[in-house]
Amino acid sequence: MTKRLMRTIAIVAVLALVLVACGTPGGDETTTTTAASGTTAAPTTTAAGDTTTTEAMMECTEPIKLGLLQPLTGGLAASGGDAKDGFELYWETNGLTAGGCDIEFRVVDTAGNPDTALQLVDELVDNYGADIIVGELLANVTLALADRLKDKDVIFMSPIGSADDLTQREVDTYPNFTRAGGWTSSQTSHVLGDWAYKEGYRNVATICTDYAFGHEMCGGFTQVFTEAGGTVVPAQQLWNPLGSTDLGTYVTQLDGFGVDAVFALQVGASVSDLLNNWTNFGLKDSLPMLGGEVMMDVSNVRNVPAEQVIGLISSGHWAEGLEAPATQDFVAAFDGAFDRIPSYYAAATWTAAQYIQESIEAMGGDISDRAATLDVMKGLALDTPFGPSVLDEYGNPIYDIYIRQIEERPDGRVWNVVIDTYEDIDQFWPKTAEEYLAQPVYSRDFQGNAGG
Amino acid sequence: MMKRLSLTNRVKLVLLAAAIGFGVAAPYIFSSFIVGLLSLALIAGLFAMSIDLLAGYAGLVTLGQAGISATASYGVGYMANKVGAGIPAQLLVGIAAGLVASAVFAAMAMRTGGVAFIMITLAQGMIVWGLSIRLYQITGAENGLTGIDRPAFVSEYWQYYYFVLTVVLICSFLLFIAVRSPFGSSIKGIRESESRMRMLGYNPALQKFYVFMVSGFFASVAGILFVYLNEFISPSAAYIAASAIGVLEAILGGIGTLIGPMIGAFIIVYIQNIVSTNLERWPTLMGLIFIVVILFARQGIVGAISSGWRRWLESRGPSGPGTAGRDPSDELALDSS
Amino acid sequence: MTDTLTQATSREAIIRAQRRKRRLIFTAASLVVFALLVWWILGKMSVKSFWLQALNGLSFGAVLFFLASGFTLIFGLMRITNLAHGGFYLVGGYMGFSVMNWTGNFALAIFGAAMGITVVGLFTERILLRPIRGMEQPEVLLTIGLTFVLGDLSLAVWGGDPTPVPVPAFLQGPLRIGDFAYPRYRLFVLACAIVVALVLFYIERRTRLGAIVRAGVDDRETVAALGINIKAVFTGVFMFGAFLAGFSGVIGGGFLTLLPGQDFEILLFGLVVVILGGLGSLPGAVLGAVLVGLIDSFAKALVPELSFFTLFAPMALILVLRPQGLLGRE
Repeated sequence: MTKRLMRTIAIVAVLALVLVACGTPGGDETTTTTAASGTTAAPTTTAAGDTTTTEAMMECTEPIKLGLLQPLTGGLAASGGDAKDGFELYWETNGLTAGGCDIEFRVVDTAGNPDTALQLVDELVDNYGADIIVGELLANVTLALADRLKDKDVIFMSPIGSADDLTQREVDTYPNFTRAGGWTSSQTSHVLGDWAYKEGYRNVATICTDYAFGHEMCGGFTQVFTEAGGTVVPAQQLWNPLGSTDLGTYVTQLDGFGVDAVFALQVGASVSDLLNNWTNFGLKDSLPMLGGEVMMDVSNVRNVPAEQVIGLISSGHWAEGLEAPATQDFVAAFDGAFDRIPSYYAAATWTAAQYIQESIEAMGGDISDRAATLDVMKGLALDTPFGPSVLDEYGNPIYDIYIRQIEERPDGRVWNVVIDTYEDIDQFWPKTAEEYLAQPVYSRDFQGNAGG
Repeated sequence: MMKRLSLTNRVKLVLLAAAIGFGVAAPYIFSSFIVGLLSLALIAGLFAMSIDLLAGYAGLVTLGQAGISATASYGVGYMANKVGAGIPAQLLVGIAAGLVASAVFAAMAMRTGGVAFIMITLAQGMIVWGLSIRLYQITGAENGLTGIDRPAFVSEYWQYYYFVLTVVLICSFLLFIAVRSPFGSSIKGIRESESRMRMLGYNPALQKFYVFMVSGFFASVAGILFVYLNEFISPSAAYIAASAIGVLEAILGGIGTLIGPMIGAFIIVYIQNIVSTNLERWPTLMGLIFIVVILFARQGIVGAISSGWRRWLESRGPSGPGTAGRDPSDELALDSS
Repeated sequence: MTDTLTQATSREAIIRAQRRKRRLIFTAASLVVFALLVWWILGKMSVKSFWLQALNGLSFGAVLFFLASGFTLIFGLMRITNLAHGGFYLVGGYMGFSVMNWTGNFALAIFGAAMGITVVGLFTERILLRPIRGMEQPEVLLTIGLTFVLGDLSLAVWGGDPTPVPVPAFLQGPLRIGDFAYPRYRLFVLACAIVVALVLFYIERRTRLGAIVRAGVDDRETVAALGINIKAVFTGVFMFGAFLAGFSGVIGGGFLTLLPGQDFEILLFGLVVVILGGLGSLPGAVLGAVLVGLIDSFAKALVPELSFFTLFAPMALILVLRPQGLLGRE
């Protein structure tokens, strides 16, 4: 080894020792200020094209910051895009200000990937200094975010991701979480189970995607339907893997079961796959399909030939055809801005934004006390595009749930109109919170089937 | 052994020392977010280096490495979340799971090479992905597994960063030794000519198996470091995109150079996390980088720098000490299959 | 000298006889396994269900056949593993969707989209792949990069909504024969596959072009030496493979909804098909597609949780027992 080399190594070693003597780093854990260190490359304005507020600063020394995480690329890009549009449209319509304070927000793309989402939310909270985080779309990403954020000084809202336990059995693990503008997966399918029985169906088969969301939706329907007196044979509950490419096989099986109706919940491309096969195998006119909310959501049926969906029934907290001013104003604004009828994803983030603005207003612009802000949020009774909305003590909304039917509008597009309403439904209906929480969360093994 | 180091080697050593120095100083300069990204980049670099061992030295491009690292991650996650075991048990199961996956993959693929190898490893990686979505009792399916807490002594972001830095440096050193050992030479022999190796008495299939296992070991280490970084694991970690991006990092940096993949990883992590907040079409950007690198700069960044440096050296002519001419310790980048 | 020659030829004859015997045993064994499977399945479902699921599997396999045939042709002649085939499928499907929306003419949509993808294929082969011809691994990796680009651009252009390709009214709804009702469209797809397979076989076996291609597979240099513009043949074959991929995208999109990410999914199925059937073999593509389609369909009906395994287990088996595929060359 040359002397020069030894010298270099010695210098580096000394430098290292000096650094260690300087003390440990890690002093900038949680920042709610905008102190981004000079070497970060992340800009502090909103995503390309979005407007940050440039109005004169009022009493607040700095704007309130929001972060919205959604999948803007990948298989869920359409739904994520709707969510982003709904959120942005709210602020454009109502102004980025509340309680005398300016508001700014940033939208980031998770690509539907939990690891990316975790990376991004770290940046939003530690670097950007977000006060409120809104997201995501998928239940699994939402759970990961909730876990990451539970010890941080932020409010976490999930108006779309519907993992049930966040406001049920795990509610105490996530004290800074609320589902304003959101729902639990089974909240809407409970209602459909009751309605199905009242309509005279006695024997129903189900086809739901084989993952948590599908289990919870099917479970909600099955439990209420069977406890009312209906029958769901476990062997007639079909579970197709997530991302199944060809559902013809399942449709053939359902045809052979000889049931009165089929409860169906699919996501993504599988929705139109199922609807397509449903018509082409000739079942549309012979076997009634009852859809879980997402199944008949306008984002999924937009591109499907109208004949395949007209007349189909589902339940949901969102009904774009609801004749209420808050709903129709929102639909008109969205349609005008984006030339499409809003899906529940758009309505959800709009409503979340509404809750945020109202809460900030009620807190007088100072939301640094997160717990107090959350209490205020839970106390609000708002008129949202979903209808009247009040949060229960677990942080989940109580809504009117609608029985919807797909109709063709005069302009040729399809949407869901309301044919029946169940008022003031919370996440546990028709049980009480104690009864409901005593049973396990819905899964493949537990569908709440009263027939056993 | 007072062997004088060539200019090239001295430059390399200085650069390495500077990089390490920078790495040590990083938490003092950057925010927690950036340091977190640096940890991620180091882990991605280790992952890409494990791919390089197969692709650059053995000539076997794998598109399923993410399947192996994800298996190791899930091993840790399962023990932490579903079994509630302690850290040592988690690590043990994690490494074991990763090695078992490597062995199974290697057994299926060792008799093939070239394009068939690529396709088989692609399918293997996707099988792991498919399993992680379906076996929800073990993997939590789409929801993934949470609650995978780091050991207490590295719970702070900067502590974990130093831990990652140390582990990655050690692994890099091990890989460095491995490729310069007789084992490494036999691996390179497989890439050059299998028939020749057979004549020399080697069993090419067995050699491939060994190198696959070694590569899988380092991929598993990367997987374990990753799961503790995010304290979370989900199926997307096994998807083909993860494997393909690993290969991209290796090629971008320079296949067959070991340090190249690390550099490639830093660049790609930068693009994914910082550029993507501004650029909606970043998958297109990634694909274009892939294409451009393959078409115009197959040696990658390090390969290009190496060639440029060598040319500069040669142009200087044999003047004085320090210009030792062609440096046999320089790794030639892979140019063809 | 004649002695060694006789020795050599008789050794060859012995090897060939051994191979034939092995192939016979293998075929006999597979037929037995197949028969047992059918018998077991019939024990679990009615005959009517059996035929319905078989048709489901065959119609799905038909789409895979279109995709795999182009892929295997390109590989067989040029030894290029075009992993961008999945991207070709997806973009082709989207193009067909657009043309169908503009014109309402299904034939136009199919051929328009396929021609569009052919152009993409031309660009890929001449501009992207030419500089790295002969280097297998860079070629493969480039096609992966291309898939990323194609997938993201199609997201930018067509958005991420699930997009089924609209089919003409006369192909919608079920065909009813007595008690039996089956979607007309899927029968159409099946018919298309039979026609395309016959056409491809005819071209390969009975035309001069097919002979050139087959010769080119065996011995590139000699074909070039014979004065045939081998480069043009290569480009032509690549374009034709791309045509088939685009074609499969539109046809498939009629009953398998298009969505971002489907490029890799369908590619995966396609890979299983060619690995099972044998890379470079057209009969292999047929056999592989039939097998994959049937396995997929019956597995979903009988063991849906394992439907993923049942697809990859045969592939793993083939790789270990007979790596060149069922009908691939030794």
